[in-house]
This record gives sequence, C-alpha cells and structure tokens, in this order.
Amino acid sequence: MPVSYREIIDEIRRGDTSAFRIISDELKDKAFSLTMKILKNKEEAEDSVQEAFMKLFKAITANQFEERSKLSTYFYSIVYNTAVDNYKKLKTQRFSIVSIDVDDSNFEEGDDLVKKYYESDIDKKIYEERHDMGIDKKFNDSEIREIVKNYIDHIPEQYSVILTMFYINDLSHEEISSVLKLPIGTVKNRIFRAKAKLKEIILKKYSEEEILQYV
Amino acid sequence: MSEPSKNIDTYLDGKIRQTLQSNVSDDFTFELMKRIEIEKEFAKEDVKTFKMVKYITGGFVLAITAFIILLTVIINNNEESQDVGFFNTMLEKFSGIVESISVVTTEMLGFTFDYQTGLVVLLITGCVFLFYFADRIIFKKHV
Repeated sequence: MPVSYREIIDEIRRGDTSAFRIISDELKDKAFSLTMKILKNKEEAEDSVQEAFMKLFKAITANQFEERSKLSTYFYSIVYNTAVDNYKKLKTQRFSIVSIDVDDSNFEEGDDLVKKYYESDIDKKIYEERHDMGIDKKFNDSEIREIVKNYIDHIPEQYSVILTMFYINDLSHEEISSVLKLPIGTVKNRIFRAKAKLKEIILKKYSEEEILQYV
Repeated sequence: MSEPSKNIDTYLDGKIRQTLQSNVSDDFTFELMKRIEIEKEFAKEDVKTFKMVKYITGGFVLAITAFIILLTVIINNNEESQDVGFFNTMLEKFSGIVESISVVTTEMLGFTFDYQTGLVVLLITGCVFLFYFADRIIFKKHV
C-alpha cells in the first residue's frame, strides 16, 4: 500500500492505475471547490476537474512531472489553467485574474469587492429580519454562515479564487503567486482585504462580545 | 483586545473554509477511473502502432537500400562480364523497362530517363522517406 505521493507516482508509472484513485480521493473536492469559483456550474466544473485529472495522469505516466514542486501545487496549477481555458471556451469571454484589478489605495465600501454583495437582497433581508426582531436577538451561527456564503458568492473571482487556493487548497502565498503569476504582495493584500471586509460586515451586525460568547 | 480579535479571526477562517468547500458528485471517481482505464488502453494501442510503424519504416528503408546495392552489383557485373545468366536476363528486362520509360519521358518532358536517373530517383525517394520518418524512429520516445 503506497503511503506517499512519491510511492503512488511510482506505482502509477509501473502500470497500477488504481493507485491514481488515492490522489483523486484526496484532491477531487479541493480541486472542485477551486473550479467552481471560476465556472460556477456544477456539471461544467466536474468535467473540468476530470480533464485536469486526465492531464495529471498523462503528465505522471509521460514523466513530465519532474517533482520540482509538490504534486498538489502542480495539480492545482493544472486545475486552475484548465478551468480558465474552459471558462473562455464556454463563456466566450476573457477571464483574467490580472485584468480585473482593484486599486489597492481606494479600498472603500463602494469598490467592486463588496459592490455586488451590497446590491444583493440577502444581506438586506437578514438585516431587516434582525432589526424587526430587536437588537438583542441571540447570536445565530447559521445566519453568520449565510452572510459569509453570500459575501463569498458575490465577491469578484480574483478574490474568491485566491481565498479558495489559500483556505481550501492549502497553498502558501508564494505558491498562489506562482500559480496565478501575480506579485506576492497582491496575493497577501487580496486575502487580507477580503477577510477584513467580511469582518467589517459581520461586526456591523454583531458585537465582538456576542461572537466571542458563541466562540 | 488583540486576543478576542484573534479568536474572531479564527472563527471567520473556519466559516470561510466551510463556505468555500464544495463536493463532487458520488460517481465522480468511478467516471474518472473509467476514463483512466480507457486512456491506458489507448496508450497500449499507441505503443503497438509505434512498433508497427517502426518495423514497416525500417523494412522499407532496408528494401530500398538492398535494391540499390543489388542493382549496383548487377550493373558492375554486367560491365565486367558478358556471360548470359539469370541476372543479365533480369537486367535486360529492367533496361527494357527503363528504356521504354525513357522514351515516354523524352517525348513528354524533354529529358532522357536512363538507369542512372532511376537510381537517383530511388535514392531521393529513400532520403525523403527517411527524412519524413527519422524523427519518429530516432528522436521521439514513445509514451
């Protein structure tokens, strides 16, 4: 039974394709989460992830994976590029993690980080409901979850993709920077800003004490 | 104040992680492994095809080389000896064919086609064939 990626790769190269299942089982949901942030459609995202896995399999059997980087980082790079290619094919639009850039010096509520979020009805409904029930309403974890979900769903891809790479794919700032070909400062900044804005939104609804009582 | 803030950060990290996580459908791995098996079969077929092409190409090149050498030997023998034998009979037949082709080409294109021209054409054919398949035989590794 192979235990490390090194051993799994050796097994696959020896012709034991079933060893590939171990890689698939470990990375499929994480790869799918990343692809979903780009394609936003379950069927298309699954197809894209399948395609990415096939590319990884061919790269392993053809000795193209040289193990200079971690297998997972190499794979997420394939996943990201495949998803962007499919996005271009499917949507016939240009997807660029670089082109939709937000001016870091102008970080205000009106910028595109939260614009769509504030435009959405869900936030408003939650606020109104909370207001109607009185300010002393008990801290509600599922409500917070709803706020976070709504926020993540509405922020631009250049934030949600980086957040997914950081929180789900467990990539470091350096690895994200390398996959997306972005300066490391931009990566750190986007993670910080996305999180700071979310915190600000939540703290408008709940005090720190309320949250900490629950935590 | 930094400690509570840190706790809120940890709490938010957890919530963000929960929100970003999506799961593939149940038959994802089954479908993937099916595709992997098909890919494996294709790779096997590719290896077989590559081997076949290699043998055919090698065989053809060998046949052309052997034919050119044989023809050169026959021609040289014919010039040195006037004995009537099997090879000379064959050579006469070959010369007859070459002559008739030569007549046709002279009439149509305006140049003579003799056995030397024939050898040059064969040699060029061999070179073109080698040039076309050389990368597949020598440089490309099969997957």
